[in-house]
Amino acid sequence: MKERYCVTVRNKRLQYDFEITGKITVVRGDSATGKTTLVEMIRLFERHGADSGVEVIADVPCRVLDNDAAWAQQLSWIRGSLVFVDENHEFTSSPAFARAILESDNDYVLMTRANLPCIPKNAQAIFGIRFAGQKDGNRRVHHEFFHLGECGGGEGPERGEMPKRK
Amino acid sequence: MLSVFFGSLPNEIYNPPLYFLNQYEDEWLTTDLTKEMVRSVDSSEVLGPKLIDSPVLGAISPRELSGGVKTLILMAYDDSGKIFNGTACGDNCARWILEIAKNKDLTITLHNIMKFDQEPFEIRILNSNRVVTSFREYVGEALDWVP
Repeated sequence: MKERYCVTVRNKRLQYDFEITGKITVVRGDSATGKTTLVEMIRLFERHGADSGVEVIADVPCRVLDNDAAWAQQLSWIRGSLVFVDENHEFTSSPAFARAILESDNDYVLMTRANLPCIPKNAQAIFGIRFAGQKDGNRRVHHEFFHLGECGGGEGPERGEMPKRK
Repeated sequence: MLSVFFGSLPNEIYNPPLYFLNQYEDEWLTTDLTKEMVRSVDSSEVLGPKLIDSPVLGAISPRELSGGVKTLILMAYDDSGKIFNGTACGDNCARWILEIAKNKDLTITLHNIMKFDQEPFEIRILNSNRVVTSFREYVGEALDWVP
C-alpha cells in the first residue's frame, strides 16, 4: 500500500476528509463526532456504488469489516484495501485479529476506544474526528481527522462550532 | 451507586448500540433525562418518541442517535439485568453515567479508562472491590486492570 493517501467521503449533507499515513489508524474521542456515520456511508457505497448517493474518493477500495461471527473469513476476501471497522466489535481486541491485520496487505481504520494490547503501540496512529466548518457556500458539514497523541488521551482543540439546530 | 468492572463479564452486552436497536421502548425516549442526554451529547432535540431533530443529520429516528446516547438510555431504563459496555460511550457521556447511578445501582464494564473527572463521586471498582472517590484514585485503580 502507498505510504500516504487522502480519502474523501461525502454525501449531500456531510463530508469527511482525512489522510492515511500508516497501516493502522485508530479513531477515538467523544460520542456523536461522526465515527459510525462515516462507516455507514462507506458501507452504503461499498454495497450500492453510485446508487447510494455517497461518493468515496480514494486511491484504494474502501471496505467495511463487520461480521462478528466470521470476521476472519470476511477479511480473507479483502486485498489491497482500506478496511474500516466500526466501534463495539469485540474481535478488534483479540490476538487473532491483530495477527491477521498485521499480516495482510490492507490498511485499517479502527473506530475503537478500547485499548488494543495485541497491536504494537508504534503501529497505531491515533486520531479523533472534529467539525471543520461548512464550505463551498453549501450546507454540507465538513469533518476531518485530528491527531490525538500517542495514547489517544485528551481532546484536540475544537476547529469550529457545530451548526446549531434550526 | 456506580460499579465498574474493567474487562469482560459473562452477562455483558459488548455492543449496546446494536442491542438498543432491537430492545428500546418508545417511552424511554421522551423522559426528561433522555431529552437532556440527547441535547448534551448529540446536540439534538427529542421531538417525540419516533423523531429527533439533529443539526447535522436533519430529522432522524432513535435508531440514528449516537452510540453513546443509545448506551446511556439502556443504562438508565433497560431492566433485563444485562451489563452494558461503557466503552461504547465517549468521555462526554461520563457525567451522565454518574447521574444515572445517583438513582439506581448501575454496573458497567469498561475496556478503556473513561474520564470520570466530575468529582465528587463514588465508584466501586469490582475487580478490587475498592471504592474510589477522586479521579486520581480512579485512574490509579484503572491502570491496574486495563491492558
